[in-house]
Formats: sequence, structure tokens, C-alpha cells
Amino acid sequence: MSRFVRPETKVLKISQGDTLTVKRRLNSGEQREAFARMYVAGVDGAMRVNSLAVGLSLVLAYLVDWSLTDDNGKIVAIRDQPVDVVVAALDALEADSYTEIKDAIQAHDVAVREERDTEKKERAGANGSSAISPLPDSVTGDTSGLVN
Amino acid sequence: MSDSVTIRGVEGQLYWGYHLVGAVHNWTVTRHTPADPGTLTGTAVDLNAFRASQHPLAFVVTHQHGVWRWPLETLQIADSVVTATLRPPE
Repeated sequence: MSRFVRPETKVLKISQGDTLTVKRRLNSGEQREAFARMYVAGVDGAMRVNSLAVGLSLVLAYLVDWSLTDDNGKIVAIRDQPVDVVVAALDALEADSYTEIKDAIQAHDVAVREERDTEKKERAGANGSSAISPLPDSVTGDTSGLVN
Repeated sequence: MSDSVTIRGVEGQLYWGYHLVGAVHNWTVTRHTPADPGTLTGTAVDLNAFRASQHPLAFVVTHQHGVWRWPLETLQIADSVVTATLRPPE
């Protein structure tokens, strides 16, 4: 089985007939980029999670395209656009719309993780990994049997 | 009358899924018969060698009225010269 993530997409449906095209899974590079966007340096130089950036980071990591249109009915282009362009488009959304998109992508991320966990368990089972042996009964006496 | 069709453009892109592989400059797509999906030639620019080795690849051209997207059957790159056989456009 290949260790490489295939660049496949999935369409998520949201309200008003709109859709989001998202990556089916993130590869390691995309995960690292997402984590990097979540962290900020504190005054002491230590890196900390910016809780306000977590949702946006996940959206940027997964979102490939969408069907959202502007007031002229034209789809707002985000596919293959620089990150700052996509951020500008997301920032321009009504708060409820942004939350809906974030929630849909977070739910997708949870489903992906659960799917991966299931795959790992199935793979471990198929490899014939034996269960951890139960702990031996406690040994009575003061020593383990060594004789001085 | 010949059934051959030739389309030329300044720039198109090669994609592996949603990953940009690189650009193809001064490209030409030629189809010799209606049954022939066509061949692509052009000059590769900023090609990611790893992504270019993956499958499936597609040649994408954004134009005034939308997008043309041809899946690639084969791809050869030699000295930045791109030669590819195409599948019917999506």
C-alpha cells in the first residue's frame, strides 16, 4: 500500500445550494503548513497556539474550491489562488457563512481522522499483531528468587 | 477537408489532482482525427519533478469562457520540451 496521499477531493454541501470542494485527506506537508499557521510566538519567544487561528488554518488546509458567488452572480475564484487572496475572500464572508464553512470542514476533518484510525486498526489486525500478554500473577515472597 | 485541429496558447498548467505540477508555455494541442484525443507539445516551466512523475496528470487551460482540461495518457519531458498524449477533454 502506497504511503503517499493521493490528491483526491470531496464535495461538501452547505446551505443555499452551495458546495465546498475539499481535499479528501491532507498530506504531511499540508498538515505541517496547517500547524504552522496555528502557532504564534509569545513575548517570550515560545510558540503558542493561536486559538482564533485554528479554524481558519483548517479551512485553508482543506479548501480547494467552492461555488460561492458575489453580488453579480459570478463565482468568487479561490482555486489555486495565493493564500492571502483566499483569506481575503473568507474574511469578507458574513460571520454565519464563515462559521458554516468552518464547521463543515471541521466535521470533514473529524471524519477523516476516524477513517484513518479504523484503517490503522484493521491493518494492525491483518498483520496478525498479537494481543499484549496479560501481566503475570504477582510473585509471593521477598525476593525474586536470587540467592546471595 | 482535413479533420485535423490545432489549438495554441501562451500558457497552460499541468496538474496532479489539485497539485500544480508546473506550467507549459507556448503549447500546442493537435488532434489529427475526430477519434484522436490529441497530443500536447510545449515548453515546461517550473516543473515539480516528483509531481510530474505521478498519475493521473491533466493539462489545464483557463480561457475567457471557462477551462479546458485534458487528462494525460503519457508524458515525456526532455530538455524542458513537453510531449504528451491526451485523453478526451473532461
